Amino acid sequence: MIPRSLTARVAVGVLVVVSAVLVGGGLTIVTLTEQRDKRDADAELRGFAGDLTPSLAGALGIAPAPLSSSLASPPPPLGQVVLLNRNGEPLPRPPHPPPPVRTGPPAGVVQALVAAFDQRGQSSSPAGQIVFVRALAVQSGRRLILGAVPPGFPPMSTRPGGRSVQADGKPWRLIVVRNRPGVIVEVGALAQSISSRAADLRQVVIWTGLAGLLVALLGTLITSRLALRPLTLLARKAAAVEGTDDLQVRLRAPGQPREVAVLAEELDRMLSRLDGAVAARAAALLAARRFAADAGHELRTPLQSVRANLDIASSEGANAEQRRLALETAALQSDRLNRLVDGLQTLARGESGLAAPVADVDLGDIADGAVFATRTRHPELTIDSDLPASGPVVQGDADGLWRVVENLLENAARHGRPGGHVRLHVSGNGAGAEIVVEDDGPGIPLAERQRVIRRFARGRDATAAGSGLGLAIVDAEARRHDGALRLSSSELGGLLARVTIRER
Amino acid sequence: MAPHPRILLVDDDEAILDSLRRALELEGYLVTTAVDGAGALRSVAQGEPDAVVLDIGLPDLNGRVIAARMRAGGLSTPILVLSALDEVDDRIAGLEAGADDYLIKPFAMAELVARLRALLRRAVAQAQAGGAALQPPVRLGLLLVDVDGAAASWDGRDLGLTGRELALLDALARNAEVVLSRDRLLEMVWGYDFAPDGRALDVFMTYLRRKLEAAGAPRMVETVRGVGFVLRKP
Repeated sequence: MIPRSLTARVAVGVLVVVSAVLVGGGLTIVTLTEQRDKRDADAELRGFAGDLTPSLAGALGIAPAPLSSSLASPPPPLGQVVLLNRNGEPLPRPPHPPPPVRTGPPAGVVQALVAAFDQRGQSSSPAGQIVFVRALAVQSGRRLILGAVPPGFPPMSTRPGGRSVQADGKPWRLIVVRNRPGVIVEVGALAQSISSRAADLRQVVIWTGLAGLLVALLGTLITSRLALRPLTLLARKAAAVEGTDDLQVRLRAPGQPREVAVLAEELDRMLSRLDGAVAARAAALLAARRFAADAGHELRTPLQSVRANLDIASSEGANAEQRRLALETAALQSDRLNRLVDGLQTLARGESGLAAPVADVDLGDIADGAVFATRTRHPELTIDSDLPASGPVVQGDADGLWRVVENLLENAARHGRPGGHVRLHVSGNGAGAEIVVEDDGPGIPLAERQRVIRRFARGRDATAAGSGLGLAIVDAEARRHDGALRLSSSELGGLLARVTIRER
Repeated sequence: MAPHPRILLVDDDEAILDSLRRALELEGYLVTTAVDGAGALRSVAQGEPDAVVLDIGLPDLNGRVIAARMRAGGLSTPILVLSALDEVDDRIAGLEAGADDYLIKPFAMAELVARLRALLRRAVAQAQAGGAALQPPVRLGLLLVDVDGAAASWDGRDLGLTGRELALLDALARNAEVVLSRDRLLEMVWGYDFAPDGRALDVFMTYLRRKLEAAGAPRMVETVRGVGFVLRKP
């Protein structure tokens, strides 16, 4: 499992690496030391065997033993010398003092050997305590043992070299040498001192390693906390944004390490985007509130009229003619309400600021359909439509673009000259497309052109039949398509409305 | 036509349902009503109406789904969809699912009655023509339009047209290379002798072109601006 805290992660990582290094290093040290100790011990044992070889050879009757006077010392303690026959069976233990064995070596030689063995065997050395020496005369098969071989010990090996054995519950090191032809000498030593030294060393390595680990862990915790401090500061600063809702705050500060600076810059970019979005939403909310207020105001008038006329129609005092008139008026006002609601819904969609869905739309086909619909509604009007044979194709929302053309034509039909002349021109170029609608009506004075684009704003001499939303809808839809509506004067005498749709 | 055509009227608003029912009954129709999609489908299962007037925004099932299920269930009578102005996507999806025309609320009763009358007359005329003599399929190159077999294909691939799209393609194919005016197409395909408000014809034309092109056909249906539409022989 990966720990959650970054500090902990770094610490665990360091722990793993340092442990691996310590275990590897420790093992190497311990192993190398052990090997060196073994080599030293073997050399010493081999030296000892070499030293004893001439005496042993003498004792086994191979050559006259070069005895020095210093070796002629007290008799050996009982049981330390055992003579074996050719089959390895012990010869009967000699009584005390041991009588000279007829075929055995002279007592002096044995005594000297035992003395040398005792002197050497009791001293402590890297090789450990030398416990016994076994010797074999190859020719005669006579054997000689100095010291006490523990019961169940493996028989003597005749192959020169060293080996480690486990016997009597203890580790042993055995060295076999053939320094002199005809005699094989084996020295057996307790290897306990080597293994205990190795164990000591192992302990030291383990404890040192653990201490090292602890230090590394603490060091890592402290340094990683220090290293992460700029990050902690950044988090604290970012958390403050939540408390204050202040999206103007910037998190990038001088002195931040590179990694933290990158993060801070990224967060700052996010903050400024958020800031923009919040501002846009606030503006949209304000617009929606104004919209609702305006809409309510505008809807109230025709509703009031419908209500009043229905009251007249249902009053007992009204005559048939009055009733008919009241119902007709109510129907007319309800039509006006319809148009208002239609317009409001379209406008709401356009002003919501939602980007238009993107699809390839043939603006010429759209305009062609809108011309047909307008001609149907206003058969008295002459509509000249100047469209390319095909295209222009723009990216946008077919329904919204339909409303742009339809509302421009409807506006021209309503506010142009009754039975007049309307001209529609659609063209495209690489950068987008353009829709131009002109009429031969009275037009709109320059000073009023911006105002009439706003919703519910009508030209001064406009009739009540209009919803006051047509141009506002066109404007909203044009902006929804990254375009714009511009009003100017037509050479026909009336208004020229130009909508540009930018290619996305 | 039966003297009193049966109309299934589906709307979740009781007040609208009631006024529309009364208005249609005044026109001599027998009106069955349903307030939700499940009720509408049940009603169709009990007996096929001569026409369906279907509100697109029902509480339980979307009108598009209901239209699709009715068509899948074998109902071939006209379906007229009612929608609010802002339900553009649903409305268009309704046409795609097999509805024949749409009206945007609020509408004048006269408009609804005129369309219903035309659609019913057209349905009856087709039924009689179908009974009298089968229309031979039209083949133009790889295009095969079999209006009686209720299928059209390009190079053996079925176009998956709805009834009204098929009728539109049939009208264009039978008059290949002849420019048909919008008025004429409205008359031939819907039986309208008036130009309805809205852009149903354009929407159907868009779908027809899209389905033809999806099947691998070249662009055959051309707009002759200011006049109408024409199908060019491939």
